Amino acid sequence: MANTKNLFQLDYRKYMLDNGLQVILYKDNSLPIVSVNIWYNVGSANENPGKTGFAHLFEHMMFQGSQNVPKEWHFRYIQEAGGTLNGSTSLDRTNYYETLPSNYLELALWLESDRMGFLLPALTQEKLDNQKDVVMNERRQRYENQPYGLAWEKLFSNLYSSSHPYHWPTIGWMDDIAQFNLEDVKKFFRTYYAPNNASLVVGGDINYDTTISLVKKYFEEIPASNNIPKLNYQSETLEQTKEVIHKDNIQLPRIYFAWHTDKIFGNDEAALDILADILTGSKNGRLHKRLLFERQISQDVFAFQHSGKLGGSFIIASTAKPNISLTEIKEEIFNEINRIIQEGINSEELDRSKNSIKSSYIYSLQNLATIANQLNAYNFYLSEPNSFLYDIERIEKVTANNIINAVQKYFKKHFVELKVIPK
Amino acid sequence: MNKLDRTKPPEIINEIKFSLPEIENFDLSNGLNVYFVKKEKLPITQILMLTSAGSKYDDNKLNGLSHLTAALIDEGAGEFDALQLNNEIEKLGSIIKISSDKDFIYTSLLSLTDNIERSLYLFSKILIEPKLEPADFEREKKKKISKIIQLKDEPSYLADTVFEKILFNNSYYQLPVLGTETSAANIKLDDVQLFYQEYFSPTNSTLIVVSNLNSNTIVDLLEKYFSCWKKEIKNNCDPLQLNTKTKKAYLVHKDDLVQSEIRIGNLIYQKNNTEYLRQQILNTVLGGQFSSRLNLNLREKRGFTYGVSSAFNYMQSAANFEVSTAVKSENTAEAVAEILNELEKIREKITEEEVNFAKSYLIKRFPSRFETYSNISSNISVIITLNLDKNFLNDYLHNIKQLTTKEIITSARETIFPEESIIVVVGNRKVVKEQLLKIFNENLLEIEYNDVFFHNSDETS
Repeated sequence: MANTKNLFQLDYRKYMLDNGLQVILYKDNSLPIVSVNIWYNVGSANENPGKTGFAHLFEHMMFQGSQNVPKEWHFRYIQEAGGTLNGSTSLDRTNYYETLPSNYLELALWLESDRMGFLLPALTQEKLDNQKDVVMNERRQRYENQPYGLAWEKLFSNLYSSSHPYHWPTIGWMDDIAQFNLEDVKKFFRTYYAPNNASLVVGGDINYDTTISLVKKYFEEIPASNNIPKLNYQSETLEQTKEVIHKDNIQLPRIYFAWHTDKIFGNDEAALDILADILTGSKNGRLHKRLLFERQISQDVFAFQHSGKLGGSFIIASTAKPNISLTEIKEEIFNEINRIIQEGINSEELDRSKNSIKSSYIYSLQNLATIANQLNAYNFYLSEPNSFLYDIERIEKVTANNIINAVQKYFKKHFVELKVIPK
Repeated sequence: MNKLDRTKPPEIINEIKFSLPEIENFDLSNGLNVYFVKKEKLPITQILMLTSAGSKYDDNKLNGLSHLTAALIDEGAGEFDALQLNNEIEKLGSIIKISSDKDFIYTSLLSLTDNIERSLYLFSKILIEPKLEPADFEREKKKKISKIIQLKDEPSYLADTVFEKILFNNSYYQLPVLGTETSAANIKLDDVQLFYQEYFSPTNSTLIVVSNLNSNTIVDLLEKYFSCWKKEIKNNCDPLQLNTKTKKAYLVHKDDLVQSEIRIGNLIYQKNNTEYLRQQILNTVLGGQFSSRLNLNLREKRGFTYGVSSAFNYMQSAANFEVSTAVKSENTAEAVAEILNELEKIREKITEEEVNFAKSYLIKRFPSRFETYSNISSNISVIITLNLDKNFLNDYLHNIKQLTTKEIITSARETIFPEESIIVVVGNRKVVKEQLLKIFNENLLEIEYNDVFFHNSDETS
């Protein structure tokens, strides 16, 4: 592949305001648009049993207006400016982002700072009840009403013990969502939504000096919080292999496997990413080739490394074709995993995977919002926003032996096996 | 230092400068029509081929043929079998994707420009010399039938399929793109080979290229790999005469659901640049974005749903208006009534403020529609699929600014017909049926879950 290193060396500036807000600026004047992206260091892992799903529900509340922004107007202001916006919640963090014409940058900063500093005066019971309904409908639509929709929470609640914060799904348990009250919202906001628990990326058609003074103008008066709880959990292992059966409204059964593996940016993570691609990333992926092409017993198969701050897991799943047993599929999956240990990885498939992962990186640089979010992600996990090249080199350095060692290290241990079968 | 006044949004003073990239349009020596846009930001080339070969050309008994042909053309081509071909593409880090709808088969290539020559060679083999061999055919056909079986579990797919079947009754648009279990099982390899022969040709396709290369270089490359492809075919379907004039509600029973999937809509007839833009503004007000009337009512006011949206769907020979949402089963009839109520209301009144918001939304987001290589090619593909004027994008901003509130209200009255709507609900009979009967009485028709896919489309009325 041609020399593309210069593409990954992004020029940026990083500041910190006196109140602890981290600010990362990235300049790209090719189109008259800017992306604003905030990460708050709070996700579903910061919740407690009985109060699951709160970080996500709270994300909805952040779109319900603040002291100077009436309900619905946060969306309205940005859309009227021709922007797009949203937020998302994961295990480790919550993010909020918008991309809009560059002359509207100040509007975005006004809106983001108003809800960071002045959310509570606008909070009402009515808004909370409404968003609880919306989130319960979101859960119905994505989980209960969706074929195989409950599989993820079955998988993770068995992989992690009930006291581990990755035990429950990000959206939370339905009963917990129904019971949140206004006091929960206020407490959560005061605990986690503070400048010293957040990082702000402004990317795109900007001028560095103007942008930093605008950021100061809107954010520097927001006070820091002085007791943000720290999360600290030890990695877990399974005492024994767990077999779980879930009956669903489906026609074709599906089998899932989950192993505890490395956490995000851990030493083995890149090898596990490549392993996933070698198994199922293309038609030539080993499991795809075996299950879908040669034996034609599976309708689909996918594998990926899923990692967070407190731990990671490797997932493989495959849906059976009509009249095929999951046992047969299971056997083939384990045969392929063993083959990696016995026969190794050939250099052609290793190069193919590396090339396709690297190209996908270049393709992702087309999108300003993706770059802005990635700067925040690298800053959050590695404390260095411009880790694009580091990330790519991490992939390039992986050897066949690294992959074989990772398979030996993680896949010989206990795992969760979930069968989703027709009701 | 003065304390910051946060009570008002900041004033926006400077105007941004945006110039549309130049869109070149030319024919290759074999008649293949090409759109080209040069974009220099990254060393990337994006190519999209539209072939007029969608499911509307399927015979009822072989419904799914177009889709299966699309699935098979990259399972081996030229000197490569299926796995070799995929391996060659992956080695380059290139991505080739094939999809289809009722009108077109879409074949796309995303490549690093360093690898464009080899990528284009492989891409051309897929379009010009697919192998279409028995073993690959059998495998892909089985995969497709299993996919149809799987989709029977998806409430949203059921709702879309039933809605289209009723809306486009007795026309080639009523057929589902994937076909049914029965129709897909009827397809033979000969059918695929014949379909490929009849529809894949340079004169029946359009190519869109977005690249950091110059147009001269692109023309040379395209001539090199596509000029050997010579076949004069131009396929046109007859225009449709569709007619649905009575409000009817259909309840599809799927008794394991906790939410109902709802589709409400009607056919529309007219379509040109001006009509299209009026409908975009109308839809922005009604259900095309978050702060639309429908979403504010059903989600933000009543909490019935995670989201509701409306859209105008355009096909080559027909178009329709459609509202779609999923709501908690207990709220089904209320949601249907609220949607119909909103459709009535928008025919009566739209404010100047709403129209200005919609115009601002569409005009100011225009530059960001040219951000990625695939953004640009999909913008151009809209011109082709909707039969819009070639200057559509050049004139876009000017034409939107011209539109008046009165014209948007007229557009609502000409395109949204709550009294003649087709209403499809896929839901749990025990919770939903009584509610719906209270609104629709004898106008509620019931469809058993098993009847949706087990009948051939020509057997239903």
